[in-house]
Amino acid sequence: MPGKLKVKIVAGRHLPVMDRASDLTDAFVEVKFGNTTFKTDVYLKSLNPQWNSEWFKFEVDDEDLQDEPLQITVLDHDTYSANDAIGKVYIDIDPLLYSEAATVISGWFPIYDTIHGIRGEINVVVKVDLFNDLNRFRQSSCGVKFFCTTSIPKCYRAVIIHGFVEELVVNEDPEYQWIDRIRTPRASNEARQRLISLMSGELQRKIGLKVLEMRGNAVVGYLQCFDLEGESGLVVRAIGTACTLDKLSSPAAFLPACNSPSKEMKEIPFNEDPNPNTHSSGPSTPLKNQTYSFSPSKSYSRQSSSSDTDLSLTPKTGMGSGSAGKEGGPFKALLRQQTQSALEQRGGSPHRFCRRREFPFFTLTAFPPGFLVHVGGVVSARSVKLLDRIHNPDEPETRDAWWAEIRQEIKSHAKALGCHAVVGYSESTSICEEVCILSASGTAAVLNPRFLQDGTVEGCLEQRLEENLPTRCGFCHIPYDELNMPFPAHLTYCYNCRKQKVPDVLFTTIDLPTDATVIGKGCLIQARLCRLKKKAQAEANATAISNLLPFMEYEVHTQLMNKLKLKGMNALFGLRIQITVGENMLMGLASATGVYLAALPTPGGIQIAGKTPNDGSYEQHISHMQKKINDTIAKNKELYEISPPEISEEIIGSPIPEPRQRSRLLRSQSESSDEVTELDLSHGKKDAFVLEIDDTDAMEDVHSLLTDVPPPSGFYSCNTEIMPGINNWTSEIQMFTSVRVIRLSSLNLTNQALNKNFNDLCENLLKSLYFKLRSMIPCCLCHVNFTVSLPEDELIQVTVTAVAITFDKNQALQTTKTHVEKSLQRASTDNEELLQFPLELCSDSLSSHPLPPAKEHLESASSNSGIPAAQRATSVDYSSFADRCSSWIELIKLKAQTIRRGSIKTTVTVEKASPVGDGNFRNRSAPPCANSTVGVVKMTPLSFIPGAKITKYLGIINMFFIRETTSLREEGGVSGFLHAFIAEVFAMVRAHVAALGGNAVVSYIMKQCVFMENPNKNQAQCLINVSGDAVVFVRESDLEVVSTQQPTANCQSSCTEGEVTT
Amino acid sequence: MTSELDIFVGNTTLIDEDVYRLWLDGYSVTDAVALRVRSGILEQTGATAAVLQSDTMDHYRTFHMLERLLHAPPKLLHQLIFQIPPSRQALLIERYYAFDEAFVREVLGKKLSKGTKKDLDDISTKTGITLKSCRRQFDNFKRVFKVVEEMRGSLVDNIQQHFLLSDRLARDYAAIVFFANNRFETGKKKLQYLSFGDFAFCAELMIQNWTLGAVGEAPTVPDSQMDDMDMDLDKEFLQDLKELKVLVADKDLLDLHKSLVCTALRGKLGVFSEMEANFKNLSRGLVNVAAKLTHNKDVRDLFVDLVEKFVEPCRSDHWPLSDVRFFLNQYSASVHSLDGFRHQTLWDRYMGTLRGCLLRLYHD
Repeated sequence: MPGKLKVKIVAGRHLPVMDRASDLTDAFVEVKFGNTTFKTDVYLKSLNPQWNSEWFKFEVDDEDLQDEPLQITVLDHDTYSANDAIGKVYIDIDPLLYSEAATVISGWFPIYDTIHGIRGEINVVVKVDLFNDLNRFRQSSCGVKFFCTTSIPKCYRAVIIHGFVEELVVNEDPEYQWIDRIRTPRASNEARQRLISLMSGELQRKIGLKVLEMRGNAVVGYLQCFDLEGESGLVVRAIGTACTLDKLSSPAAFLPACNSPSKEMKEIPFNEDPNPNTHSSGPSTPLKNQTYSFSPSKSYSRQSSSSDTDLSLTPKTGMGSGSAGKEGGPFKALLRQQTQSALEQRGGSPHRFCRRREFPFFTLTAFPPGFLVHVGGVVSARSVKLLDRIHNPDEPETRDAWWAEIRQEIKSHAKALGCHAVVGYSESTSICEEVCILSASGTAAVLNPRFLQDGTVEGCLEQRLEENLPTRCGFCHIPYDELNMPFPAHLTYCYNCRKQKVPDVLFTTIDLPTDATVIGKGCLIQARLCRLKKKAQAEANATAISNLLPFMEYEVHTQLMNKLKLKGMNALFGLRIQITVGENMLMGLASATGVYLAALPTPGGIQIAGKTPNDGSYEQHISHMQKKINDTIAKNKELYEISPPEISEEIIGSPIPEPRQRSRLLRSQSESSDEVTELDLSHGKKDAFVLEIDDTDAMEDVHSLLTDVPPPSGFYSCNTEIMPGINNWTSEIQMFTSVRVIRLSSLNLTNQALNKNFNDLCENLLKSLYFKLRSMIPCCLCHVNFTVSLPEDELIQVTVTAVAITFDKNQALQTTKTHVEKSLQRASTDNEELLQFPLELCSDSLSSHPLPPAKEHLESASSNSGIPAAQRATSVDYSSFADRCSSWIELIKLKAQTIRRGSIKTTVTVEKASPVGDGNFRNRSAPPCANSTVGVVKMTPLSFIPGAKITKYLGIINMFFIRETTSLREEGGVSGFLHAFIAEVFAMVRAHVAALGGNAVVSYIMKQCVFMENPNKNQAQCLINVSGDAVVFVRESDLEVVSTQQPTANCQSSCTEGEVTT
Repeated sequence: MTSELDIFVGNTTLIDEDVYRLWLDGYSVTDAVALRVRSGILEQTGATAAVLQSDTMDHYRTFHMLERLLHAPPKLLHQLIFQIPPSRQALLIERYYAFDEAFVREVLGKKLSKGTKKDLDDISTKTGITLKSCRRQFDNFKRVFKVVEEMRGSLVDNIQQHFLLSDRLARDYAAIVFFANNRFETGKKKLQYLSFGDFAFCAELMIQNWTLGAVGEAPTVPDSQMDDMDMDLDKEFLQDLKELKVLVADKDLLDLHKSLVCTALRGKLGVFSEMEANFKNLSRGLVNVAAKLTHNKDVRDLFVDLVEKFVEPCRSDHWPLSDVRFFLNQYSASVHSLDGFRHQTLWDRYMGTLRGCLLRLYHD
């Protein structure tokens, strides 16, 4: 699909004065795409030039369309000397490449200069004409939609969720090229911005290709990150979940409030199209649906029955971009042979499926109801690597291999938990000098294997509902075999169905499932930890870090567990553990949202035990502490309204039944769940968590436990999408980013002092947020995302992005909630039908089909997969550290009793379901937003906008900016500099969204904020990478009036000046 | 542990009205924090002083960044960097351009030049307004003056269009600009009893009636383009005012005028006898003021003259305001009955405005 890109430069405004003599500017514009450049006329002597240019036309390949950004440079014409650049605008034209997104980009863009910041605005119109071309050997992937949202986007339904896609590209960092010594900082920054933009485009295109190969048409939960490896290069990597999405064609059908990600699912109409399979086929897929969609159940039973089969099914060489695991040589050879033969026989197809099955990972954190069957617990893996120069950017094997290794580990962890998939999966890195920590984490889970061929499900809806009922608390039930548990855990029978076993505590990285029953409200729980480490070089450094890691993981888990108990809760959602490496220390920060799951047992308290029981005063002190802890727990229970029903009293006394011998796999157990009737409550409630105070360290720990201050009244906070227990959101939202950097006094730093400093930093930051947002009370800070970095020896930087959402205090929360849940559950079961889950490879059907595109590409890639021996030798492999680390992690898991599962309670909610709920719902949406004037662009890290319906996804926003200054003091110091820069980044994101015709960014995330300063030289530099989904939303109140009207791109472009910008 | 960097950036820019006021009033961050602590905010919110310090710094930084935009309010509306709801934008602008009565009385009628700016120190000491705030207010006056100085058309409209001020504030600025342009003396001791409102009222009347813009059509003579429509007094009109001198120079006319006024007011005025005794002095005063307006120096002293020649004599005789009104009405109207007087329109244009001004100026 080559295309014609058309660009028109309309006007500029608020340009800076470039000619001191006249106080005016002679501006003109260069429009560059690929290697073609056009220029406008010079508009003499004006700060508000009206170029009104002709249409500049670029005839380009779609490959270029995907990779290249449109580059617009505004210059000041100078007759005698070189023209001065005023600034640039990079426009990603990707949203124009798929039909359902934006049709035109038109609007005012801030003109950005890496040294001066925003300097005026320029009005640009961009269009793309695509020609259809069914070239099967294409390298482009136009038409594949990308979403940052980690759930199925509103107004789409998932036909198939294919699975994990990943890719990475590497390059030299322009900042470290020799030429950087002679070019200006501006040129260097721009080279970097442009390179990352190009790499992002390339990466997205390659991922898109993989999706097309899988017959998908979209990537959900797309997360792209870049690693600044310094001397050794620049890595841009991305992961996502390939899906086949189907647009819901009736936007009128929607719920008054879309507070939870899948709320709208219940509105999903039964597919209008009698044959949904046609939807699922990608742009160039002649194949039928059933030929490539498979039930995973077979696959996993096979996996669990024989590990040999498993291994042979997951050849590492399957990596498209070519990666080599660290398996033994002969084995690898075998695998390669297999792959080779597979390629010969069936072309690229088996290859494709091999890869997909290799990592049954999902970057999604919220799922269509019924998708998630069981949750095993958090699985994570870290590994410490030494960076070396990337020799050949076209062959990023080393980095690929590193990640493959980690993923393999994650996969085996999941398997140990009896799970076949990992959900809520994410990857991250922390780099300091030449040491890099790679981390991956996710939640082991068992997913619904049901494969439904026909989308017309009305007939079986009722039946499905019945079928579904027993498993409603199912996600808490253990997926692993009770007799063959991966770690000792206290299992009890589910407090809801009383048929299945549940653990006493459950940790996950996903959002709270919408159908889960929670008691009371949730709260943000953080574990914070610092560890000093000696400064060291290269291998010694990596060794030191590797040795420290397990201890950190252990302590972080202990802290989380203690804090969870202190809150009187029994489950963590959205758990994110970040380990940051610095020159002389390691920082660990874990954030999660604690809740009380009704299906899990009541958590026991915390008991303190002293080591010198003879000392009277010491004893007194201990008992004093114990009392304080007990008081805190009681207070917290009250604060978060945790009052579990006392239904289990009579059961507690019941005799402990003999554990039944079960050799079956868990899945079969859940299917035959009705057999199990006895209850086992031998552990659980009485289980107290004992803290032994045997030294001052432990004392500190207990103190720090008690110093966490709860948010002021009227405030709640969580790091998940929505706050469990609050459902009546009103429409006021405020997204913000807050950054703090503290300098540690370098004298006599101890771990304790460090911990205290770090703790204070985080606590004070939260306090400041509560204070700043006090006018929004009652409100909740949602999706609180902390990022820690250690930019220099004694500096700690914490970046927080979150959104504050107001809610209506006066409505009965619980009633509404339970009703919603209830109705959701009922209505949305049909959605389950819409899911196909092709984890399993059906080789028979494959063999009968001709090979899809990109065969050559894949072949060449796989033949490259063996790393040349010489190169391998240079890269020091620290996988042994990783291994040791992971075994430690296992141990930690045992000790900290972290990886657990729970269940959902449903019995209580059924009675409460009443028609009143609907009325409540409506009320909630009523208050109009004060900001609802035209042109306001909302930003939120959530996937929805309270009180509004998302009617259209316009495309992904993925922007990278560098800002540098050589006059730091004059710009208000570091704070002034960064404050202005972040405000500018927000402005540029909003401008791009507005130009696409959108009025909001959802799933917004600031992925990177790298800040470096040199106050002595009066210099500072900052790099920021943000992404999100541009959307059009309609207020519910508006929608009721004009249900058909939607803001369009045309509308947006017509309201030019004031509105767009206000 | 020291904080190196501490920022908060919202997608919608947070504006704290209280902090904005403190910033406008020119308090340093430290002073502002102290004042906020005193307001009891810590007790209300349970925050710590450190939180307050960080919050105040943040707001100050935001205001500092906004200040550049506030200098040209339309820019604030069109800029993309700060997303601020329209009502908040209006508040920001209105508050930024608001001024202190005490301050404006000090600089009203003064040339808005560097010289005056140097006096700001003294004004600050005298009024108790911080120097920073004085500077802001002075710069606002000057900025508005510079922008509308060369503009044609209604002064108030121009100000409103370029500074997006409320009607009331725009009128006040029109008065300030008008006074600054004509350099009316307002600082003399005998004028101290007058408020800014008094002067602003007079300014509005004068702009409406005595300027070129007041005549309606723009003059077609090319060189008159130099004159600003609303800012400068109509020179031709001022020249013509000399003609009024006949009212006091011609003894017959003066007597006739007096008898007409006295006849009409007999029995209606509490201070009739004083009026009768003073009529000639008062009339001479008012007419001479008119006749002198050809000289710039005398234009500047307009208010001094009015107070000296009219307000003070009346006040010393304890005329009630109602009597002043009766007298001035009759005094203006009676001229129409003077057959020998040919400048009725001129008289009305002069006296109509002057009557309004005098009534406003007549108080303790």
